Amino acid sequence: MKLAPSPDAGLRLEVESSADWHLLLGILHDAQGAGFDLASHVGGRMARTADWRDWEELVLPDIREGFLAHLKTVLIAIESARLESASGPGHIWITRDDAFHWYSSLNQARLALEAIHHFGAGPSIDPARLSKASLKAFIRIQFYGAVQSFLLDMGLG
Amino acid sequence: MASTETFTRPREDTTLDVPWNVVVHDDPVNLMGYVTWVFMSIFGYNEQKAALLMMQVHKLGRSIVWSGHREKAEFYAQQLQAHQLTTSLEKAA
Repeated sequence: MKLAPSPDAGLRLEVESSADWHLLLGILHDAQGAGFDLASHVGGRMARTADWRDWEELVLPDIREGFLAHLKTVLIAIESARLESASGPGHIWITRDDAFHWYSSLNQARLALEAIHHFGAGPSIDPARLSKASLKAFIRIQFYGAVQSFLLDMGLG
Repeated sequence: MASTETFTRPREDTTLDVPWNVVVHDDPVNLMGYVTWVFMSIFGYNEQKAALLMMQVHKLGRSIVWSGHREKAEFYAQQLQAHQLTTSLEKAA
């Protein structure tokens, strides 16, 4: 897979093989993996306030819905490009309008993987000491983070 | 039979409108540039102030990013959580 800026100040993902399509679809799988509920995760510290129940019932569903909408945008982009290329080499354009949806989806995937594997921050991880499953997750986190950095440089709109 | 009288004693109870703090907590995932961008987008802070608050979150584990009326604090907390930043509210000391 290659990433390159597009002429309209967006980003172009060049997909080279079916493995690349699999990797991209992994964003969605990781984001919703193991029953991880990101809305509860980012809102969980509100539980110390008296109105937590209201927050849980009235606010978190909207936040959850927003996260799902971002994932849906990305799923549609990946699947339509994959169908167009018959799962072979192809490309996806990420416009500036869609950049935040992509960033959000990649972030959801990274937050979910972190919640499962607890890699932590910083360069202290020795990949050689990780289990096979954790190593794969670690590599995906690195890839997702790299794409996010491109999106940040490009501007999230 | 003894007669009874009822006295009404007026009492004043003044509650101060204590401001609420919007607190953002550190996590090992969100990129520093993104957190800065979120603070600029949501609060309209300039880059210098947003980056300073981001560094507080990163170094100290948390930062009070805004203080004021409860309704607005709740609005900001919702916005920050919608941007995937772990956020809580607390009464200012």
